[in-house]
Amino acid sequence: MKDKYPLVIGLGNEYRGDDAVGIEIVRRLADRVMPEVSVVESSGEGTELMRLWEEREVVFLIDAIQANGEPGKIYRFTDANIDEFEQCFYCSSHLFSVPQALRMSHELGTIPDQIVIFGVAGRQFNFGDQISDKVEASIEEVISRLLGELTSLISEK
Amino acid sequence: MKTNSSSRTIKVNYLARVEGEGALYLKIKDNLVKDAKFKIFEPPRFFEAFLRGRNYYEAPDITARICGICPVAYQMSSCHAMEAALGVKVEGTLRQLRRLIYCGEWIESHVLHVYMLHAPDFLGYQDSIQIAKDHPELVKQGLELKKIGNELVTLMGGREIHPINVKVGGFYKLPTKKQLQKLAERLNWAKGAAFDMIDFTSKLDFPDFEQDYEYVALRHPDEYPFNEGRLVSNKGLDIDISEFDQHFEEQHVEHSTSLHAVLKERGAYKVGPLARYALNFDKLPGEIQETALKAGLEKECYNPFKSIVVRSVETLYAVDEALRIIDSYEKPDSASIPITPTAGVGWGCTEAPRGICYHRYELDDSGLIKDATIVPPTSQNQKTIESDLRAFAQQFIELDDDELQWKCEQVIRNYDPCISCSCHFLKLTVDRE
Repeated sequence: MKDKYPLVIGLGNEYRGDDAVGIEIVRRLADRVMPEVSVVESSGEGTELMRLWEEREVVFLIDAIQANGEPGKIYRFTDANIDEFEQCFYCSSHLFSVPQALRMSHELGTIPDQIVIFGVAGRQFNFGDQISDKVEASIEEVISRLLGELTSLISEK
Repeated sequence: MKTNSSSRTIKVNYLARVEGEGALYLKIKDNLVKDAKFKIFEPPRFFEAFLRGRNYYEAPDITARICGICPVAYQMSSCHAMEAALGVKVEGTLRQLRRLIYCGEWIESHVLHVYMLHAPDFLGYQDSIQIAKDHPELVKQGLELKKIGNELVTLMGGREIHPINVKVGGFYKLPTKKQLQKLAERLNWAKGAAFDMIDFTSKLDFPDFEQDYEYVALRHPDEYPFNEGRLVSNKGLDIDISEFDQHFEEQHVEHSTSLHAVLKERGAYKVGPLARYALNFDKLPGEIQETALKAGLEKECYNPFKSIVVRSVETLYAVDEALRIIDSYEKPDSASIPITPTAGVGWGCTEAPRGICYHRYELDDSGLIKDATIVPPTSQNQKTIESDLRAFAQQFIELDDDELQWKCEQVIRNYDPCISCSCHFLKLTVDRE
């Protein structure tokens, strides 16, 4: 039986500039979110993600992405526009990564009923970089939108 | 890709299913391979430089960040090197637990490579997601097996990627016997799955291709190597790891941000599962030796495509060894041995899933790092990857460009190269004139 309460996964590498934004968002979210919601950090390794979400109804992924838009711009993806997410996924050195894990879970029937992805466009992804100012400035807005969606979901359960 | 009567060019700009960022270039003129380059253009990361001035005890956690697939190898090599510099030796149960966390990493890494990255080459699929469409049970078994490797690293290391429980002198926290026994139930299932993995991989089709490699691996008098031993080869090398610099050197080549390591006396050499297996077959338990021979392997294997079978044999070994260690485990009183900082030089060399990972550190009297050298496995295999490409492309030069390109990518994936580690994605160009 799947867990009906939402799971929020923050993805990224905290030592790689804007790639840390997913991690930073879930760290700040953890203190403010309702107790029914689980919050975890992940490096984005595909098989780990599949394990995290296999028994879940609703999963939120928060990640830095590479997009043509302005750094810090927030994108929201669901099953309906997942192809767009795949195109602007930041190229990880781990080849079995988030898009592959999503497609593999679809094939194996282990995909959650609902997946929502918040992507924040990044600018710098070098080792040792800090999160850039424009990306930093978007963090609170992502948290606010997440809390809004989570509140609606919990009230429906 | 372009072709004419005497020249052909095949380009693959990013090789898929390889960990890291790199490319391949092949130049063929009048049906003769003129040049083969394995290019790495992921930016160098300068780990050796920014380790200087850090404390000795920071090295395991800093170097673990070199790789998301084999962080344990970096932690182990750095711990052993620091302990050698500081004059301490970790023995008994703590030493066994180091082997145990290494078993977890071998399972994770080998299973990921065999099922997710390498099997599609042999089965003619673009990727493992395509395999999952036709053979979901096979993929599910691989994922479950990998999950058990992850669970072992999580229990011993605190988390599955970049574990944080390893320290110079031992561990921060030890598992209870009950926690390990619970994992043993999972490992008993994994042992059956590892036999299936060997059966599956041994029935794949392998190109008729063998090379006269110089294999280099650790060899220990009593065990199949993880953490300790002498560095030996099938061509006469037999040295203490502290003599590494006298026999090996790293060379800069223009087309790669990763240094190429060579044996000063004889040039290219090869590390990894095939080398370990050939040099340590007698150290495998009898049941695993029999299984390997029944699977069609000989005691030494010189066909790089069969590395997928040897990885499967090593997965079985890692599961079996983990069960043996857990069976005899009694929790020690202390999770680590005390360390007093002192000046010194130390060497560590351990068997990462892809082959030996060498570290050397020099410390000042307060335990700060004055100098660091790290030689990861992929940088050691680069020259051999290039010679395999040259020989393979020549032997199979009549293949059409698409087929040759596919097979050459496979030649590289035979090595499970971890490009992030070695420099710190893969591009294939075949240029025919």
